[in-house]
Amino acid sequence: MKLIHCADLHLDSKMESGLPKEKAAKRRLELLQTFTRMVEQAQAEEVEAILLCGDLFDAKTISARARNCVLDAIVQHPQIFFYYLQGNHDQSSFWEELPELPDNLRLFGTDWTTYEQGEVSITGAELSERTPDDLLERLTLDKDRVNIVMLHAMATEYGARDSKDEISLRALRGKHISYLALGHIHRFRLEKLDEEGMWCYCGCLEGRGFDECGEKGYVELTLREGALIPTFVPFAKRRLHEVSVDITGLMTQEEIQRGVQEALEDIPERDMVKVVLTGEVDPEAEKDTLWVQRWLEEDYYYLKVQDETSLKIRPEDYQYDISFKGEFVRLVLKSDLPQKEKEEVLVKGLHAVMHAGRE
Amino acid sequence: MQIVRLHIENFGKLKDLDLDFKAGLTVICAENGWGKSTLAAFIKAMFYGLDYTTKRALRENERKRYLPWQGGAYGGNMEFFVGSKRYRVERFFGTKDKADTFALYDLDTGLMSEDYSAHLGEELFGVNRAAYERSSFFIQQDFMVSISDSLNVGLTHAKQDMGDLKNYEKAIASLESQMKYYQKTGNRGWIGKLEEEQRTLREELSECRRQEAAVEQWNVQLQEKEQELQGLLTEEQELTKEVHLTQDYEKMEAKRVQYDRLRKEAEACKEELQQTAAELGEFVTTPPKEDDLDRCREHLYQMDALRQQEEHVAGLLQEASHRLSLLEEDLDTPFYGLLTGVLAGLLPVLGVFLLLRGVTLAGAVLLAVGLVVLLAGGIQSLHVHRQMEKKKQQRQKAEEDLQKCERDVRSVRKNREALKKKVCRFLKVSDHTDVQELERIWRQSREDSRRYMEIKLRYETRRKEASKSRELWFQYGDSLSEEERTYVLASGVYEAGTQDVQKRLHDCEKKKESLLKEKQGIHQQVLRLLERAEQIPALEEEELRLSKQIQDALHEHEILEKTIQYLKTAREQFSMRYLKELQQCLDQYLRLLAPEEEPGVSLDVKLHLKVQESGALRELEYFSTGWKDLFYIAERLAIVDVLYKEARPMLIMDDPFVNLDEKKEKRVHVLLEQLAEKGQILYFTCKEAHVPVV
Repeated sequence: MKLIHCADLHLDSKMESGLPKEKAAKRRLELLQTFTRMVEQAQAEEVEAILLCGDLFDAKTISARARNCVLDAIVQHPQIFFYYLQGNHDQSSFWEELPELPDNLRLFGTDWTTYEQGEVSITGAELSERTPDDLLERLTLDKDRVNIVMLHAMATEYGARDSKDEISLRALRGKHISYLALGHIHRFRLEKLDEEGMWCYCGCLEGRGFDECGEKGYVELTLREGALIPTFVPFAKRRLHEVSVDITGLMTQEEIQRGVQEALEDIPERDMVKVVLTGEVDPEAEKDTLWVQRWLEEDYYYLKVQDETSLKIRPEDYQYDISFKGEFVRLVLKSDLPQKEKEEVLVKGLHAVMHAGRE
Repeated sequence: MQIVRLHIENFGKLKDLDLDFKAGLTVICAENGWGKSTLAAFIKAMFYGLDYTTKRALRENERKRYLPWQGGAYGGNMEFFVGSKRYRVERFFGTKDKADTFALYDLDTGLMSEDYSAHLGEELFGVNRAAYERSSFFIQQDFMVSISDSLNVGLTHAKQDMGDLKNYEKAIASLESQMKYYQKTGNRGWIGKLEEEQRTLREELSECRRQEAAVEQWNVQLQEKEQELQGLLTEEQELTKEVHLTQDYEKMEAKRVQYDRLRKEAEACKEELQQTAAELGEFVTTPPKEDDLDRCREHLYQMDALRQQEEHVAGLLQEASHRLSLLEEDLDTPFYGLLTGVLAGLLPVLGVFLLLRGVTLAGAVLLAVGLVVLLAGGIQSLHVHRQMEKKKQQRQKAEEDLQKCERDVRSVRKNREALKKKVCRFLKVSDHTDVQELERIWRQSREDSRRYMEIKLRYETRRKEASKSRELWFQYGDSLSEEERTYVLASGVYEAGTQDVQKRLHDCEKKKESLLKEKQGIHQQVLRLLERAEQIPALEEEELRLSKQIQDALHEHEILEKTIQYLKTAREQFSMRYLKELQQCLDQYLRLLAPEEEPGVSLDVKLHLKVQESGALRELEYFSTGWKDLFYIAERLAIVDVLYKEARPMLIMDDPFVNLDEKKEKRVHVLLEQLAEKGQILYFTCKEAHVPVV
């Protein structure tokens, strides 16, 4: 028997990568498509259940398009059971408007609900203010079944007393859980829970901002001889990359560009890239981040450049510089501007005078 | 500062060279290619070390440039005075600055000195390498360099001038125009535009949010309507129940009515039946049956027919007897026949006789005639016999007929009598009643019979009806439920106010309809609002992006502003630092150089030199080359004075005055004399004639 564990899709929610409007809209559409693709793939591989561990939607108002997309997927694949758990971002139920629920959609409430499917029992509960305090303690499972537990929360060793968003792993040990399917953290993580089972964050299906870089996808569970074997399946259409490029010592535009290009060599052009320039740059270096961005952005679906370099400038260097420039540099360095601003003013001023001299 | 001596181990083309210097002017007359620049560079290198740069061009890469061709230790040492202290600096260079060595010895003690670090030059002179070079090297090519040029050198050895005060204006202008791009007056710049966009976006966003919130309210309303609807439904239910109840009662009432009706019918039938029975009872005796009556009638007809027949037969009898009597008359005259017969017989005999006798013809004829006559007679006698027989027969028959007729008459009469008897018996009258009476009685009977039958039929029908209606009534009674039966048998009547209930139900319906419409309307509204609300994530995204853009732009603007401010301040400070002194020194030197003319010079904030001539300050360009040279010299020297406060470097001059005319050259030499008293001058020339005589 095969199952899919996925979560945190945040369908039709806002992108946080700084994409321009049209691309952001397109990206949101891609997210929906990835979801549909996943369901199609599930069908092709004869997956029998899809566990949606929360945050399927995001905004208060779920767009009609997102709702229809999900409903369509559910309705058109009646042989797959969809287990839908609400997360902290799901503010309204997308099925409330329906005259009747599809048969293959299984929901959860604020207390434990268990469903049986084949050899597997799937239990879940939605955490909110209404959740009883001793929820975890009250969980009892049949030890002869293969037990999957679905939760959308942050899992820590001891949990948090007053936070409904955190659950205690300790409290879930020894309960005959074979697989604790979690949502909420957007990065894949698989750890051992106890002798009988493991816990896993499947991560999100597509990254929406540059804090969600790397492989994204879902986890496919295969049931073999009473044990669940998880496999991470990278499935995102586009990956996000945050690449740091150290341009210390590079002086000319070409050198900098070349340096950046080398760092981006292995990135496929359909991906999204954030280039972070680091290191110490000579104030006279030809660093033009806008130029770098313009020149590289055609090569990828989206590229932005963030300048986190610092200026290689030391007051000692200018101690004996009697020129006007020296005067300016000393003045700025002596001032009480914050360090970053000092550097910016210096670069601006020096470049301005430098360029004026060139004309 | 005074350089005492130097020793070059290997530096560029110079190798193993020792030179001594004294105070004041030192002249080296050497041909081109001797190594003047190399020496100058060496001196500089002793103070400042060699720069490490990745630049490949030799011109810019001194380390490479002066790498000794012949190999060997790259460097040397130099002895110098600072105040009263004597030092020796030793430096050796590698291909990279890491390999460089530096040692400073205090010659008085012979030990290493801590007075200066490897940044000897900077610490000693207070200027960096480039400034040092600029100011202390008076090299021919770039002699014509203005003050600000001299004072503005870069960190690198790039030939280009950077940080030039001249360019300050341009730089400021460029920065200011950049600022304008971001923010023009009246909020027109890039920032203004972005903020406008943001405002619009925020409006839209808040609109969408409002609509989203409105959804809540609408939903609440929807709930209310729903509740109202529910209330209505409950009311409807109750009213319907009432109606049903009413209907139930009505049904029961109907049933009761029906029951009563049936009962009444049954009773009515029964009454009628009884009536008919009474009518029937009026008949004391049962009238005779129709069939019997018919038969009686038949009999009567028959009787009548018989009578006629009797008459008829009687007639026949008469006829028959009459006929008989007739017949009896015909039975005589047989004699005639006999005669004929004998005759007839004779003829043939005669005939035969004749024949035998041979009188054939006659005989034959006679025979023939006789035969014929015999035959005829025979036939006739037969005929007569027959006739007689026939007559006999006829007579017999007639007798028989007569007898028969008599018999018939008798029988007919008998029948008639019998029939009559029957009829009389049937009609229950005496046998002697006459026929007309009989017929009357018969008709009467028939009437009675008919009436009786009628009544009987009616009775039958009524009996059936009565039975049926009773059957229906009982069945109906059985079909009722206990409740119904009780109700039905009870005598009370339900007063149903159905009218009112119906009306209320109707009102309810109408209200329900309108509520549903309202609900529908709200639902549509909600959908519309939701559509707007769906845009929220996209708008929020955009807003985030815009905010960041604005933030960045504002920051840029601020930085530009600050940069301009600092540049301005720096310029002021810079100018102020040098202006006054430069002015003084300049005046001094120019008076020395051109005592008669006493040019009035003016140095502006940009350190730009102007000379007074004929009442106006003129640019140097106005003057001849010769004068210009003097001005430049004065400038350079003024700079040296201004820059070097404590230790004064050795001025290195590489035939800088070749272009001056004699007169001016003389003046310069006078100047040099004076200068030599201030500090050391190393003067290169390749022509004897140019050696300054001091």
